[in-house]
Amino acid sequence: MSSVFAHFGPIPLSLKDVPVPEVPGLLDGPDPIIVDKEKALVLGKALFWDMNVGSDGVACASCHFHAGADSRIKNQLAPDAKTPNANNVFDLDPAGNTRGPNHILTLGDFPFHQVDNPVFPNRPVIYSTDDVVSSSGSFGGEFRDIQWFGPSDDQCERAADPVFHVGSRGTRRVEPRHAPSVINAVFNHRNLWDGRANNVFNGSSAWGDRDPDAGAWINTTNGLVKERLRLINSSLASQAVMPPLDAIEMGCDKRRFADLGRKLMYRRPLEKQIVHWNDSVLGPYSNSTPGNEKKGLNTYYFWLVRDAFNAKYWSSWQRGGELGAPEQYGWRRPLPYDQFESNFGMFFALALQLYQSILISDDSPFDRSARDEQGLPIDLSPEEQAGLAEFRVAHCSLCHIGPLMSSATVVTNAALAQSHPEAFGNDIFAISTSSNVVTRMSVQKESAEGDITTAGSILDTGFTSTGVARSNWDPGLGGKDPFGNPLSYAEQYLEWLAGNNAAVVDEDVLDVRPCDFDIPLAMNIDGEHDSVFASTDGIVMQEQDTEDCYNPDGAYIPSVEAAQQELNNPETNKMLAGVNGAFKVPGLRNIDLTGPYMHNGSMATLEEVMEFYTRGGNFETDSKNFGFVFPQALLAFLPERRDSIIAFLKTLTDERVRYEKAPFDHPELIVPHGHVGDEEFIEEASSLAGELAADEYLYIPAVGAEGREEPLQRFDELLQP
Amino acid sequence: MQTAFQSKRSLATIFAALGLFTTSQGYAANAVVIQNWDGGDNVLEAGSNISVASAAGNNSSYTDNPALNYSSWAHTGNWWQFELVDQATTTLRVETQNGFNFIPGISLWTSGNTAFDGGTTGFGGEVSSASIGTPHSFNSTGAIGDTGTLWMANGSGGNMLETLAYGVANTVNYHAGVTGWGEHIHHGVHDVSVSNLFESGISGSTGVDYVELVLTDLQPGWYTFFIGGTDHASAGGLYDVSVSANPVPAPAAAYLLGSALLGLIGRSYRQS
Repeated sequence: MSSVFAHFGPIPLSLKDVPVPEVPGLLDGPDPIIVDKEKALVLGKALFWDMNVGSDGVACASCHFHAGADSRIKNQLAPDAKTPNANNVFDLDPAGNTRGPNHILTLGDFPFHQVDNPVFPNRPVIYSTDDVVSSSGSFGGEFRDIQWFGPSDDQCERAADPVFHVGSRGTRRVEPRHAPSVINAVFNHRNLWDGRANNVFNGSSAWGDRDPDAGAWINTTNGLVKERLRLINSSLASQAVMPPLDAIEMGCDKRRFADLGRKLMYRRPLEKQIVHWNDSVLGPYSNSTPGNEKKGLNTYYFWLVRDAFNAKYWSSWQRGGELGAPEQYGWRRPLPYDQFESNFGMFFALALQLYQSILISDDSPFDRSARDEQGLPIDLSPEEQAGLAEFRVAHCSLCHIGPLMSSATVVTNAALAQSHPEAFGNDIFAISTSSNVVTRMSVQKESAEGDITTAGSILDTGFTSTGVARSNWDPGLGGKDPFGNPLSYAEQYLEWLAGNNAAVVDEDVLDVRPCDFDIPLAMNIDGEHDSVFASTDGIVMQEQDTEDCYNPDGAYIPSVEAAQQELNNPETNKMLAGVNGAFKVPGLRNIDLTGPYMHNGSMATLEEVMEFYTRGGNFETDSKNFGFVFPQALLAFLPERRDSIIAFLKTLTDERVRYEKAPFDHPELIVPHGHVGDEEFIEEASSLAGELAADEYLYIPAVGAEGREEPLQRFDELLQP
Repeated sequence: MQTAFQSKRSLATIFAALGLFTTSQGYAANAVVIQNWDGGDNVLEAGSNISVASAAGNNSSYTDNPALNYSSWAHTGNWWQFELVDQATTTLRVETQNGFNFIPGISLWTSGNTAFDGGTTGFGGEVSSASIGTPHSFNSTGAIGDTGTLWMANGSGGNMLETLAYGVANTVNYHAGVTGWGEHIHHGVHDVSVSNLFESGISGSTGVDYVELVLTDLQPGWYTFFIGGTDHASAGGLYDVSVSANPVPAPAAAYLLGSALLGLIGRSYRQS
């Protein structure tokens, strides 16, 4: 064997020519849902950027405008992550000053967890907070009515929020988790940090097959019939139907998509926003001409929807009946909903998914580089190539794996595993890459008393904990849906092993093949094993074939009886799920532009991220993947090695994203950016209500296909010193 | 050398070195990365020395990491190997540089006449009590053939013939029942060899920041060692490694000739 240093583990892959996961039935088949893809794209891009979508001026883009993410610095603090145990208390900043709503972020605010030497483990903590940097959204309030024409803020009962306020004036609420980039999000098997945007879109809600009442209204010869959709690889559609109805993000409480459909249908798309005459999607419909910028498109949402979607979803004239009507709040009986309005959630979701499907950044220097016979990018500089080698040795590429640098892109990685095995490992270290939505690895587990041990656990593919925050600050994937089901696939799989088939609410769980787990769950071995089911415990051969098994010795599952016994054993080391505090592994493309980082936005720079990983994380937490995140002496004592990793990460920036060239061009956007005044005094009331603070704004001009002149800046460049 | 064979499996491994067994299925090699020596020289002659300066050591890659049930972690420690070309008493020393907080541990093996092939990841599907496969976690002190060594063992996943010795600077005392593979990991220097094919004795010493192994009359062949930290509470640090082979002693006939010449010179002087 050669004694020359051999490269360690997976090599990230170019994104060029990597297809988007297919969505059967959306655009193809005998009866496609979308019949005009071009119109649907126009509809999707318009809806994504339209400030009229929100109840008080917030667009989807208001939190996803800067390389697909949010770079605002004022009024971006939340007091807690997404937890049922929120304390609603803003912590002091590192200097001991109060900090809260309407605060302007500075470099000195970061990172949110500080030790006396940032690259070493086991050092004294000098500052730590559970506050979150995220996106300011809506003022909230209780929905009452929309307006068909003219003013576009919804009529809501609004008041100062008890948490988000300065003095007596309410400020816009801030989300409890940092907004990830929408660019390349189409490849994620599930979306949102906790995976709750289901891979399957059911036609009306985010919950896929879990929601028993979901579906879209179909116009048939027998009248309107509600029919479930079952579009796979459609988690962006599942995600899209959440923010407009969320009272923190975009809407007043209890607003329905039918209300939003009613509000928009007779309005011109982007009626308050300039659309560039050369916008790569909207240009042909823009009212602008060269040198003469105008607002809006030369059509109406009503026509765009009817052109884009199969007529069976909008052609009925029925109003009311099983479609219902808005809530009545005054003396006037509201007009019942029609089919168009009732299906507006579906139109919105699928159009947005289609638009985001073209937001793919596959033209970075990393993608453009020629490859040698191993698959290494040889056109990168020596420092960048050294950084890639360090990225692999430091175990980064074990989670940040494949062309999107994320194990959460399950379908894409599985499709490439055979043709590009080098992207998923080598003799030294390989990650089992298949269509399995769960795997098994040893991760930490935390007792109720806070003691940390480790155990082989079923994990959701693409979700892990790196020890950013304490286990009880945010359950992440360990949470539940509104129907009481666990969000995770792992917990469903354990129930299935124990014979509880009714607990499986996501069909992908049934396709899991045990012999592809990274470490086996059951093996045909004699005697007893602490963490693996042996033949003496009771095992059965897996149902699936064993072709190309990652671990042929692991082609077994426990018997139902053995699984039940262990599942009911509070001391079990065999039937565990490592999901509490686990979050989706983010991709790394354009990472230079998408700070702050982590699910709680607690790190402002890539240097702070590198220091975090060098010291092995902030906390020893439940589900922490200790085998991949651990103190790294080489990076601690040789800072140039950390710098080289950062140099490599910067090669993942697509210049079209940096300069907002097509397909990343966009209409004008006016983004709420804090309130008039500071964090101690609000100087002006909002026109929405006297109890609310007047907005300040970030003006983002329209950009056409040629892009902008000045590049997007990094988050830390935008911070106050 | 220990006075008795550890197990039949170990004996079988020794016989395998003599070609009496064949390798099994699933063999792939290259499971660990072998580091370079300073100057790129991994050949050791009698009377010479090879070394590495400023290697970086993690806090607990050798032992003391509770997540691995205190077993060794192959991919976060460092591996070296050398070829000894002359029989010589050989000293292997790992020492932490001043100002750093790395408490070393080291294990030494031999693969006989061929270089170590790096072993095979996950050979035989072995899983430790901490639910970790090999060599992510591995048995660094047990005999070749013990649980947690198949990935590197001759006749299984590798071509390693015998575990010779290990040394641990930290005052730890881990035993079967708590460790990931049922191995013992104790403070101090330990001769764990099961034969006298490769050396005629092993000794050495440890201090708070060094481990030294001395192998008496080490036979020509290939030797591999693994170094990692042994204190999970430490920060890790930089360390130096050196391997020295003593000079070949003058043979007895030359001694006698030399004595005779001295005698002749002395008589001639007295006569004059």
